[in-house]
Amino acid sequence: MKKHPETSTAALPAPSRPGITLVELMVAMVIMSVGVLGMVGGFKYFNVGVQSAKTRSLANNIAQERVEYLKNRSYYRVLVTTQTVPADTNFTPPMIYDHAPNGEEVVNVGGLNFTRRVLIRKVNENAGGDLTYLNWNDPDTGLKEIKVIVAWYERGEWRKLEVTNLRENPARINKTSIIKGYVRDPLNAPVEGAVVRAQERPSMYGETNAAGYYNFSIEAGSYTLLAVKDGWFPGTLPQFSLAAGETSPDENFTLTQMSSGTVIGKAYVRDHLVISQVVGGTVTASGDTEWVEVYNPTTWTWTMATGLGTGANELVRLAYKESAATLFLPDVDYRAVSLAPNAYFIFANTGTILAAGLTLQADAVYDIDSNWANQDDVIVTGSPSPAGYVALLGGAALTEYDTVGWDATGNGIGGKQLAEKYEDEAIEQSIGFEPGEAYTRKTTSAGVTPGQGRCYDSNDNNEDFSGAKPFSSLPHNSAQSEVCNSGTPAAGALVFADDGLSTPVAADSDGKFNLTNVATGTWTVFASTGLAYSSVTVSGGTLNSFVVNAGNIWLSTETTYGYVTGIVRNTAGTALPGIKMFSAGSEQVNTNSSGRYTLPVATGVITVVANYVSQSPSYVELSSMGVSVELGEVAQGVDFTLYYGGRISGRITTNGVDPLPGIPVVGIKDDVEQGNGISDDEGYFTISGSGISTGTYVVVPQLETGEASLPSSTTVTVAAGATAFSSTFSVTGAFGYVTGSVTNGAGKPIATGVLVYVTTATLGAGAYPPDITPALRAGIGVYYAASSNALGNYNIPVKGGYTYNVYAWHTTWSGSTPTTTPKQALGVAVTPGQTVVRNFSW
Amino acid sequence: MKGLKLKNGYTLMEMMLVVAIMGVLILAAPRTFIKTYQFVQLLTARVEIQKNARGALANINRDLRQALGHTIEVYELPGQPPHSLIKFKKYDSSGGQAWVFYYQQGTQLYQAAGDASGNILTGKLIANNLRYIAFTYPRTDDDGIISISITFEKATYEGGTKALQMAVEKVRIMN
Repeated sequence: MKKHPETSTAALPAPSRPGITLVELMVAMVIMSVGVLGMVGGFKYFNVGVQSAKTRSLANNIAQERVEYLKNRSYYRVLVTTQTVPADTNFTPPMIYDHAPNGEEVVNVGGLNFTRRVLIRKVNENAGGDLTYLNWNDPDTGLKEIKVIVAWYERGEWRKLEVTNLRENPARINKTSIIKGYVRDPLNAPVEGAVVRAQERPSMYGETNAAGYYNFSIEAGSYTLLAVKDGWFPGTLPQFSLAAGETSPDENFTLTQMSSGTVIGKAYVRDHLVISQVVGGTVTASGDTEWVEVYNPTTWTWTMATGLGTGANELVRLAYKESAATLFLPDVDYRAVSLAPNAYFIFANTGTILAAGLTLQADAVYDIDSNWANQDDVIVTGSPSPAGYVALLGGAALTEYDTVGWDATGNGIGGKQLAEKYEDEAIEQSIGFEPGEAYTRKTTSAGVTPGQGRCYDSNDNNEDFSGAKPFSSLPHNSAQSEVCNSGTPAAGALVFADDGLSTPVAADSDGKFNLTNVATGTWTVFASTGLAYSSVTVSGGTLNSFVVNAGNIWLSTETTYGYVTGIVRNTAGTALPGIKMFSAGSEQVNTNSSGRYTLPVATGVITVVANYVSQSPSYVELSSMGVSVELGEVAQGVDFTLYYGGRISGRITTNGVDPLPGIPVVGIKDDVEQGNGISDDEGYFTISGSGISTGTYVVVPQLETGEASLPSSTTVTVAAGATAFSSTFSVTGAFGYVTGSVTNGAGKPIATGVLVYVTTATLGAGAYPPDITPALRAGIGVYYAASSNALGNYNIPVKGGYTYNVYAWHTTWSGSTPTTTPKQALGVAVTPGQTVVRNFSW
Repeated sequence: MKGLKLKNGYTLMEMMLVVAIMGVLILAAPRTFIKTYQFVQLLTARVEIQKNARGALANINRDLRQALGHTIEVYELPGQPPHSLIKFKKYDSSGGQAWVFYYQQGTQLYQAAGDASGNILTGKLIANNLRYIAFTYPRTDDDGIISISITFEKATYEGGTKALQMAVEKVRIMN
């Protein structure tokens, strides 16, 4: 093709219009794709929005249904949640819901699993008209809060919907009246923290605030008020009556504080033998006599040998070690085998000790060369002499009971200047253990007092022993005893009294304690190290600010316990003596004359039971759970208030003979429910607990609509400590259940709904259910009906004790033409409380 | 040759590339369109069913709560599934009483008024795609509570998958 030269014959060519290049086109495509993809993404959010609204509305329906169901039950059958752990941590804060007795259920609707939970709590309407939550085991106030929570998992997140409703006992009496007043001391200063209680309604009480003011709402009635505060004498006010809606005038108390003072003393531990004197040599005419004296500060007798004489009979023996030399374990010839409390026992190198004008028979003679005629010089003495120690060893294991070591820092003998064993500090000596010198254990920290037991043992040899040369403190043998006035100071021992006012203190390093704020009266003061404990009775008198010395407390009883203290009173505030206190794994104790108790308990978190197995039959048994006690420590203020009480028993049956389990029965006094029980597998029920005080009760089984009881209620009188039998109730019309699944030919559940009827009537073959008209409802035959749910199950509660026919109708569609196919199961016997399964398949 | 402007045509390679890309797009497009269509159908079905179910239940619920318990009757229109009709008298806004009917006719839910003697008048369609409705008393000796079970179902595509919603509601009769 020939190229044309440019000519000028024509006008200038039209400017060339550039086309869209491929690159431009592709860029445009990319941009458009981004837009289109964005829109597609938008669809997703649109869908999410629709789904979200849908699930929320489904959840709402599911929750509403449960609320309607619960509100339709009788008040007493709306069972209060008793178990709420574990909480569901998928939610923040963790969702608390009913694990028992109502439980949770999973409902599948529209392909989504909804978990339906409830939380039913007792609530109380306070004086201000606000609602406060109560514990499930608190007395029923006649008002329950039903909360239904529907939870579901959607798009990676747990969601919930809550519906809350109140259910009121129709028989509830509104607490419209108010009792109020002040609690003050004799100087008119307010008393904070005092509890004012209506004795006729122990569940109704108020606590005073910082201004001493209390108020609480209550039903109309006549009341006696009691004000109680620990460390104060209780006060009562005479009975007065209160009309409905009335607010009482100020009901004022003047309380007097119990006086208090201080208990001082010292605590010692005395649990082992001590070496009370060591003499290393006397240099007498008859030879170099030496001895080791031992003292028994414990409360029991020690056996020193398995028999008299020599040989392998040693139970408690001596050892001596010179520094940098071998250990001597001399053979011992026992002349006595037992060491009584507070007595001495003397080991010597001769049978008869002649020293400082004293002649003393040794209890045991030791020897190192098997020549019992001579005196062996075991403990090396001299001026100078090497350092060393004497130890008292026990048993085959050579347990060290006590050790005394002495230094000889100025003896000039290399390597033998320091004792190799001692307690804290060896006895400080310069030239060593000299002949004629005695190391004598002090009787108290002050020194050696003749006539007292040599037992001061602060586990410091240099502090506990006094050295004397020539020796002045004479030795003793097993025929002699002296009372010990000290021991090992119980540093850090826990000291507490059972007065209910003071708080425990720890003894200082000298074993001294100073227990302040102890109420006037006579109390027991306890000291415990965790391994040993002891107690003394201390009378603090009646005057305020008393100071009394409890003296020395010797911890000589071994313990593996912690302690719980408190007071037991009755509802009138009177302390109860002789009430048996118990905690599993420990001994039982009774309260003392002032109602106080100190219970040794196994350590850990324990339950303390007051009036164990109703040992005092006039009162109810109460327990206090979750008391935490460590070894040797004390949990104070575990107080109890016992009611005069008894029990109400009875039986629920279907026909006077056959038991009907699971029927709640309430005991009502003065129109207020005081306690309830549920019939067991044998139909028996017992109403007991804190609410069943003495008096007259109306006992009423709590029935569903359609049930009747004969008799409908009975009246019983409960005497203190007695079990009052109310009646055998016959409940008719109690329910059983017909349940089952509906499936299609392929065995798949029918999710669209199947109509099921249960009736005692017989329907014609292939017939529809009868028209439900007012006339039919007023008739005698009862029809029970339900539709199967989305999971293909049905459940129909029916009166037990009858034989029923079960009919089911499933409709399929061809266009808008229905085909309904009936199925039936005849002769289905239903017993109360039982479930009968009948499945249908099309 | 100065000033001579040649317009380059597309090369064969370019053309083939374009044709290839378009071919891929054309092949993929129907599938995408179908999926989108199905999705929209499913969505529409769900929304419609949702609307139906909510609307129908809310309607019936509200009316039933105001019903006079002793006037309630449950039966069905001839040829329709059992107990798919409820008839009751309720208080109207002027304080008088009026009959109300809810019933299934084919796969549609109707609401109707009644004349003074309780005969059904011409109904008004309130929901389509009704698969199942049944009014049941849990027990006929207690007319204080009635249960409505309702299922909507709508075909979406290819006859296979269906959107479905089943709802059960217990209603307390207040009067």
